Amino acid sequence: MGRSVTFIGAENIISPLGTTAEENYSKVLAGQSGIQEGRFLDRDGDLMPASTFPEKQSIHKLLKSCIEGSLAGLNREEFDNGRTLFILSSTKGDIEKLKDRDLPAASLQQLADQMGELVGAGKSITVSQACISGVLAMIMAHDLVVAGKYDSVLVAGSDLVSEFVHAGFHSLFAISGKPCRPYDKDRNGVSLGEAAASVVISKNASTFKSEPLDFLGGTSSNDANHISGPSRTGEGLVRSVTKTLKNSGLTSADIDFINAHGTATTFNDEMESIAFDRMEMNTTPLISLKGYFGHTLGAAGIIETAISLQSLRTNSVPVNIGYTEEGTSKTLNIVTDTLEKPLKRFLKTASGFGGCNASCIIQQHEL
Amino acid sequence: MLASAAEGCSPKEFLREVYKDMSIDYVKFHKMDLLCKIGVVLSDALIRELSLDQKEALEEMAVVLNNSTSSLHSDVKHQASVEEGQSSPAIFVYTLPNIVVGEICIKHKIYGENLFLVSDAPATELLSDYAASLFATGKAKQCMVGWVDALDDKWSASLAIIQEGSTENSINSLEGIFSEAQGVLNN
Amino acid sequence: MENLKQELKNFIVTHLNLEEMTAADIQDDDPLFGDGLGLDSIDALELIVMLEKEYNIKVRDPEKGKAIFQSVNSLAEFVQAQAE
Repeated sequence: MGRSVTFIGAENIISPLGTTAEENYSKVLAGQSGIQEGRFLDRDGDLMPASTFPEKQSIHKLLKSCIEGSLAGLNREEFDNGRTLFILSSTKGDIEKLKDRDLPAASLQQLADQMGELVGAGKSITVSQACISGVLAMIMAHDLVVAGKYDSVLVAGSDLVSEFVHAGFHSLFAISGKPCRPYDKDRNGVSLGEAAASVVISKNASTFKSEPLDFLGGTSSNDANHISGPSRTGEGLVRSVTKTLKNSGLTSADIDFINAHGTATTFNDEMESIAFDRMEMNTTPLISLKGYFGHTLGAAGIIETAISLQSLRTNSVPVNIGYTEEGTSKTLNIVTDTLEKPLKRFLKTASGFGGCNASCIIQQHEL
Repeated sequence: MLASAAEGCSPKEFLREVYKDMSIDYVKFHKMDLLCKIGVVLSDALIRELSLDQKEALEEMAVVLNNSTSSLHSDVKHQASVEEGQSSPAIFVYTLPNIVVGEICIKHKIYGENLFLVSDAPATELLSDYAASLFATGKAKQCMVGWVDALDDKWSASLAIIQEGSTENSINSLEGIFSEAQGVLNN
Repeated sequence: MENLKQELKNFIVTHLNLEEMTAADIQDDDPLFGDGLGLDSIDALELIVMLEKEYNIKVRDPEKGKAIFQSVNSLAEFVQAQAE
């Protein structure tokens, strides 16, 4: 099957680490994390680490600023051709509105519509698929562009750190008392994070002011095992990555680095090690970015992809912050020193509640 | 193939009846929230009607669902328990709309593509385009697609399984499916 | 102790939404997890919430839950021990 390529770029990130993709990337390369101690008071009265903004944010304003940054990276006369779609990636949207019992204000469609209007998109929709929302939204964008239904899709993701989510993760004993440590022997849970991130996927490279990267699309797969625990054999992740590689006409040897999910829970990271081992990718350099941004839920797939777009642009891969000692039953090649070498392509993976998994491949633009 | 669900009686009563009538016999059913129960009952009805060949290919079926209220039904319950100082993990795990996709996949051992879209009205065109794209790219040969929405006592649902190559994956056909969202369960 | 066990069985049925079951269906030494009642990891976490809500007992380490929730017997022993 022929490989289908779209172009991806105009990435933007607004997080506690900065207000542009470049700024976020330079902080990440410098080993700075957005996760700070004592940022969130939990049910037991303990102050927990989280990656949060100094002041309370409105998800509307956050997304708006982020999207404006992406739009600034486009040639508008190319982008605004009436064949654009806007996809919002969010798990809970403006969920704090439930405190006021304002259900309509918590509506995801309302948020998507507002952002869609800002983008000037013909249509807006929300992908809400737990932690794989961001990756899945980009895959959906790619598929619709390849099918000729749209020329460009702006994908934006965001979630805020809320009492709603924090209390829920707390009841699952999934929150770490220290900044999270993906894949590490002493990992013991997630650090939550809030951010917004956006990218544009387009049929034409000329849509972008700066040269885009090539997006080869991706796939998703369900573990068919448990709604909140990952498959012990990494079944869904293996199936997704295998399909993604096959559909791109590539093998695991063609991947220069893996931008994995790595939430720092005992079970997720262990599952990933089993999955990557099954696919014989134990020596492929691998990182999770959750030590820098925390787990940003609906934003995760996009913010983490945006960072790796910067990696391709600069031929560098940052370290997996928080990792010191191997903590999974199968060996992974966790990046512990900044990689600086010519990079061709990366695999992005994500896994989420509901047993879902997604993966996609992005590579240097082939002229 | 088409199945849709009725409004009118209490969702709980309706589901309890249907569960018995259909002899679903699935212990995990009772732990599910309303959205998932509806999705599981309807998807069961559809899957039973598949041909032997189609059932054998079930593990690669795509499940693409859509609603407008996301998981608000469970969100409200979770929020209430958070405010009382007690958070229930069994409620929290249902505060994501895609869990209904997960429950269907778990019950029927489906490893295929997943997608959950949230929109005010059925995203008929996007769902149709996406299903067509799944078929065209070889990512799926059959696709369960539809609308499953539940908030308190208001609920509507309409599901279908469309096969690659059949004329059913046209917008007209999907529109027909969604307009029947207040029809009667066919089994 | 018998009253406590009965009470615990009732709480198990109500807290875990075991609709097709009553307290009478649960034997004192039935394994609650695995093949017994077929409870899963989320149920274990719910039982931790139940202990806090009904008995004001806080289990901070879910791994410890495995031993505590083996059966109604072990659960009753644990609750009794906390009260002393």
